[in-house]
Amino acid sequence: MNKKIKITFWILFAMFAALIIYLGYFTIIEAPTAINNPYNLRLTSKESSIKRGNIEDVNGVVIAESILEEDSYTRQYNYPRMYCHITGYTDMGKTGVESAYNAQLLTLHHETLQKFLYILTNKVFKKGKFSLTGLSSLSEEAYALDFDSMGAGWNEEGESPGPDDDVLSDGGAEAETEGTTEDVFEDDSELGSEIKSIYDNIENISPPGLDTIYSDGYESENDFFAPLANGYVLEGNTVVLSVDHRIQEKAFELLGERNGSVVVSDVNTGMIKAMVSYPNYNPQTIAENWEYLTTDEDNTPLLNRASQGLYTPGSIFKIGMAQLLIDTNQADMTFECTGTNHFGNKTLRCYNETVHGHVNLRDAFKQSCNGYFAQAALNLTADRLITQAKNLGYNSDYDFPLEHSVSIFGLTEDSNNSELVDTGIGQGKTMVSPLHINMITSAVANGGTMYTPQIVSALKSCSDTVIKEYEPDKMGTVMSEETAASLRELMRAVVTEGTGTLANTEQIAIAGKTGTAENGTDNDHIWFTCFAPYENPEYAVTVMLEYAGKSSKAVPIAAELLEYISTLE
Amino acid sequence: MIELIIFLSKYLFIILIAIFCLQSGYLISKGRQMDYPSAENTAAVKLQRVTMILFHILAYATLYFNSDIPVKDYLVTAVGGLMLIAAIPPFIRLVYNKINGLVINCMYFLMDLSLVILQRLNPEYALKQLMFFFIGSAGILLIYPVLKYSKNLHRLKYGYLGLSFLLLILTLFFGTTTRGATNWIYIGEFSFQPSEIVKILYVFYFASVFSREISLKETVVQLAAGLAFVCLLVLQKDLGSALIFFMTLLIMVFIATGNIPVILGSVGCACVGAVIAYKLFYHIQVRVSAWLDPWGDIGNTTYQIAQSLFAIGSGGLWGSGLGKGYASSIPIVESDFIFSAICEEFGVIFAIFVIFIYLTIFYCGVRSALNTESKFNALLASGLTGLICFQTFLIIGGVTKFVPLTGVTMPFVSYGGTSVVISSIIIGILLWIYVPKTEFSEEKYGTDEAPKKRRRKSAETAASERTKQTAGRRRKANSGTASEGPLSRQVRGRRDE
Repeated sequence: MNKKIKITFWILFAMFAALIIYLGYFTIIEAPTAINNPYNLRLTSKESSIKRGNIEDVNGVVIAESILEEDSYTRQYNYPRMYCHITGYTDMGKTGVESAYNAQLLTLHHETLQKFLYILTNKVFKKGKFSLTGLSSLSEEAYALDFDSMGAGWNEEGESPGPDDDVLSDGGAEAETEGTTEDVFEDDSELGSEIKSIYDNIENISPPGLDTIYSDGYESENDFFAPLANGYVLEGNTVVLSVDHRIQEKAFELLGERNGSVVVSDVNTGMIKAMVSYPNYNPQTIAENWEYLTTDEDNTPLLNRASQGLYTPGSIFKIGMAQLLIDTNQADMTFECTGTNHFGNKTLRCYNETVHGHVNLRDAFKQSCNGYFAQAALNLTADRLITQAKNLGYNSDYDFPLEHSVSIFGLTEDSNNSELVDTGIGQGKTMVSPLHINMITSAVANGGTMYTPQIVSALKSCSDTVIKEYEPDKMGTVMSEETAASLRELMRAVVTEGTGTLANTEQIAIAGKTGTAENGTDNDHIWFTCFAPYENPEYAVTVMLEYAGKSSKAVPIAAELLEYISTLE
Repeated sequence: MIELIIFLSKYLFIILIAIFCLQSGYLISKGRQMDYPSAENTAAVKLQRVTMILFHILAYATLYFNSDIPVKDYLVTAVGGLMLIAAIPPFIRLVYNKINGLVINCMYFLMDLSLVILQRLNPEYALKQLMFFFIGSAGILLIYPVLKYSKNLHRLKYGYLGLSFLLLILTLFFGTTTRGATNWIYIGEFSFQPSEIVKILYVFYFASVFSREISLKETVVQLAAGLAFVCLLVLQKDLGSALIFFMTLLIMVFIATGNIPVILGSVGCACVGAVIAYKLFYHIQVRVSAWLDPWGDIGNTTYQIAQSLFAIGSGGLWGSGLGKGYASSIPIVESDFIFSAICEEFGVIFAIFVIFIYLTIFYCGVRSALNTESKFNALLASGLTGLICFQTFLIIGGVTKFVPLTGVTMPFVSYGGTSVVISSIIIGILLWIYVPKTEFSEEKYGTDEAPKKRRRKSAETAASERTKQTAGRRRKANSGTASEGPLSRQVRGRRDE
């Protein structure tokens, strides 16, 4: 019987061992993501007691940071409209990177060490002004001094200091000659001399955060030991975007006030280099404008058209059709285009009813001949198109931290020929996002691998130690290298000989596909998706302009952007 | 400076409990020597008690200096708790013939932890819990003389059954429903759960039934009766108790008969029953879906487990510090989810050490089952150990999402009078079984072996002398592989079926 007792309890102990292992696993691996949940009240309170980390671009340009204003931190967006759809906002709930990386922005790297330094410099040596659980009111020394009345930093015209004025270094000297402070110090009383002695030392008292507000440029001081002088500030981790500020800025400028979006990504890693969407909003003032922003149905400024917008692809769908033809050995198909082509009882017009004549794949692709691809759809049959769409990621979600939509491919085996033809030329029940098109273009550019798009490239601690670097994530192989090479050739032809010659620049060899998508109005949606340099692709650019019609600037925007990018390296 | 100390106290707690577990390990490693009173043992046990007292003092100091928590009744529970852990354990150990101070220390450490965490969560409860601890300790002390002088416990089969029925009927008529389960009886201000007492009585009953050779048919009949009781508990919506009861039953049947087909058969029946219950009862479906996806419906059905996981995850490995967690966001935190509060404030590393302490207690329970000569006692010990072992596993597994959540309490740590007193009594019984009964004249059972009693007794002391010498080689006592001579085989012969 003893044996049985032992067996029983060994089993029970094994159950406990499994429990312990699971507990360890949960705490170490699952917990960091699990606790990032709006129902977790702890994060909300953490926000008021530590400084939220920065959001920076890949080169260290600070996009969003928290600055101290009186007793609490407020979020400052240095380029509000330029990055609004990437950063999201923090004041009315959270979206974007602020939401997806909320826990990280509030995580203290080497928490123990930071808290130890904090206690040491703020409690033991009593220099700083904050408590761990809430911000107590700041000490008299720094803030009882009313800079306005003392004239610190005001220039002769009486204008208040702007970002370019260096207040602290000039404030003392200028103020003394202004005369205002002289009045205060005229009084030789004890109070006066006390105030004078404090004021004389004002340059040495620098409340945390003040240098961030008033320094020129928007670089924040990242020297690890600097904060110690004032009492250590607990600061969360920094999220480093994959975005390159220079490219983002240029794309923002080029898109201007046209409704639509621009996506730029690195074809070999899936990292997004720029993502702009218009109409945009100002996350800095989200609270005041909330009513308007959330009810503006005409503009929907909160929508990230790059990742959330779904549009009919129009002619850029022909990239996928060409891929199908190549893969099924029908690349030698030819067609007689008469401008208005008939397929059964379906009439299809090419753009402007242009008669393309006898066309092969190359001709049809570069001229974007609808007739050719309509016939191709009929030859290929719906089944192949459906499989192809699934292969390219239609109807399936991908891993992307920002809000995004899943592309729709509505063609089924039961669809009639009319729908099949429509789908073949990129109309029909097909809806796709600019980001997804960019992903497909990247796959063509890099030889067939589709990468998961990523907006964050790394995580850093508040003292610039790299905590984690995100690696490219392969979603899968969507085409063979040979097919990709053939497609690249076709896309080059579009730019050198076809509908995209506006992108035929000398500075950089671009290859792409234009697209016009009917949307039921007179102004079609205009697409242009491309990659460059042709010989050794690095970047994929997708420009999509809503209701742009004939006078669209999609191609020039992409071209100018890529020219600019080529000057950067 | 105080801030610094509070900040470091987090790590000190972990160090203290680690030392406590190391001391347990040391005592365990002494093997059989642990079971006998000796100066060495006493010194080690006393040292362990010192660790416990240090923990208590540090915890209350942290609570006092941590201005985040209002200071109320600190003195009473602080001093009362100190008295509890300093004075009672040695007294108990004395009463129980100075054996095995380890399990007593472990038990009181858990009690102390309970006091500390309840003080932080709800000072009122801490005071009440202290009272329950004293009652429980009194219970342990009473058990010894009661059991020592009751000779024929193993014969009282139907007595246990009758008592159980009485209690059940009382509950049916006089019981009140709390949180969906009708298993409480209120006497004036105090409430207790008769189902807890019934569980122990059933263990006694089964131990007495199986302590003699019974036929397969009777085994099946007994099992069926047990399963019926499980069903009754399920219908009462007391799922946790039902599960615990079933497992204990299974353990006892297995140990008593080792009849695998019967075991598998009853497991099969249970599975069928579980599926039926799942289909029939909505609240079971809710529990299972909350276990599978705790993030799905946090606003409503998965709220409890999600908040528990938030707490455990936010505390991390090292904890957030005593008093610095967000215990108020955890539901039912004083009883069912107290483990989550411990994980959050003391850290998961600390919590794992707490699990080790529980395992030490269970280990000692198993030792007492293995050590004892009487089959009844062995079954009793196994059953009772299995009972609290599985209960602890259920609640810790439940709040960490390892298994679906069931509403049972954590022995010694959860707030609750019945839980504390019952757990204390169980340990008391285990301790009593542990005591080497060399001075008892009749504690064995077996009609055909009664005349051999005296010879066996001398053989027994001879055997125990021999094994004492080989203590270092064997962690567990009395394994089946006897290297001794024919005498010892005779001793073991009765028990090794």
